[in-house]
Amino acid sequence: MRPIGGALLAFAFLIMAQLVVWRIRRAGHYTALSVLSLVVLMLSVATFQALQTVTAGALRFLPQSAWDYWNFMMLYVALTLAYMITYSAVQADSPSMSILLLIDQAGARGVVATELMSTLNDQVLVVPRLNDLLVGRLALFESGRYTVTPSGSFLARIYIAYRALLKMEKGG
Amino acid sequence: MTRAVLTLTPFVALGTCIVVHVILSRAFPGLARPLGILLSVGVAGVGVVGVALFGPADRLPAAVGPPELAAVWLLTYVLLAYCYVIGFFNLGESARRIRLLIDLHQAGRRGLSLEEILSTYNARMIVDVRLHRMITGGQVRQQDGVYYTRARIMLAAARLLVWLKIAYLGSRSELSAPTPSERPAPR
Repeated sequence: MRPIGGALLAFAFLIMAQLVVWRIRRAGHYTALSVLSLVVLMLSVATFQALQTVTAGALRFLPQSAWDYWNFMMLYVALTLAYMITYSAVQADSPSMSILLLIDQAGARGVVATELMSTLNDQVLVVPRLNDLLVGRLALFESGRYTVTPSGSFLARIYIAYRALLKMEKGG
Repeated sequence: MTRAVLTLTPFVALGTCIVVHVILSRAFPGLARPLGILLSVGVAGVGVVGVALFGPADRLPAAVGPPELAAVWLLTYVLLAYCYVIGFFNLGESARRIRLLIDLHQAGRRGLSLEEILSTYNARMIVDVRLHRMITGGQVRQQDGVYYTRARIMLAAARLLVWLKIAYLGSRSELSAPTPSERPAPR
C-alpha cells in the first residue's frame, strides 16, 4: 500500500497548500492549480526519498522502489485530476444544486417555478458562464457580439464529434 | 501483454471504458445514461482487477503482491473513470459553458449577441431541464405546480458544496465571492 499512502499524503499536502495560497491570492485559472499540484508532486517525491534515506527504508507506508514511485505518480495524477474537476463544481454555482437549496430553504411550503426563475435568471445562470469563456480565452466579445477563438472552436468540435459518436443530442 | 502496457493498466482500462461506453451508447440508444456509464466503468474495472490478480505477474516487479497491485490500480482507474464521466461526458451533457461554446462555434465568424444567445438558451430552459431531470431522478417531487425536495443525498451534496465554497472562496456563492486575482476586468 506504499503508493496509496504516498499519494494520500501528497494530496493532503496539496489541499493544505491550496487553502493557504488561495486565502492569500485566489487564482481564477486552472493553470495555477496545475502548477501547484506539480510543485507538490516534486516536493513530495524529494521528501519521501529523503525520509526513506534517513530512516533506512523504515517507513513502510511511503514509496521505496521505482515501481512504487511509478504507481504513486499515476495515483497522484488521477487524484489531482479528479480533485480539479470537483473543484470546478466549487468555483461555479451548479443550477441543480442551487435549485435544490432554494427548494429546501422554502421548507414545507415548497417552491413554484416562477420563484425559481426570479432568483435563477439569465444574469445568474448564463452571463457568468459567458464570462468564463472570455476569461479562458475560448471566446471574444467585440462590438456587442460573442465569437469563438480558434481554441474555443477546437474544443467545440471535440464535443460535437464526441456527442455525435455517442449518438446523443446537444447537451446543456 | 508487454510490460509497458502492464505498467499503464489504469490508463488502458480508461480507454477500454470509453470504447465500451461508445459501443453501448450507439448499440442501445434507449439505454438509461447512468446505466450505460455504470456498465462501462464496471466492465473495465473488472478487467483491471483481473489483470492485477491473474495477469502475467512475472513481467512485474516481484516486490508487489497481486492484491496490493489490484488495490492501487483499481483506485487509480476509478479516479480516472470519475474524470471521464464528470469531467468529460457530463460536461457535454449538462455544462452551460460547453453548450454556449457550441452555439457560438455554430454561429461562425459573425458570432452572437447576448440577446441572440438568450433566445435559444436561457435560464428558463436551464431550470426546466434540471427540474425535469431531478423529478425523473427522484430528488425532487412536484405537486400542483409546487416543487418539494424528496431524496436527501443530493441535498447533502449541495450543502457540502456550500461548505467547500465557504472554505475556498470565502462565500456561499460564486456571485458574491471576491474576484479572482488572475481574472481580467470584464470586457
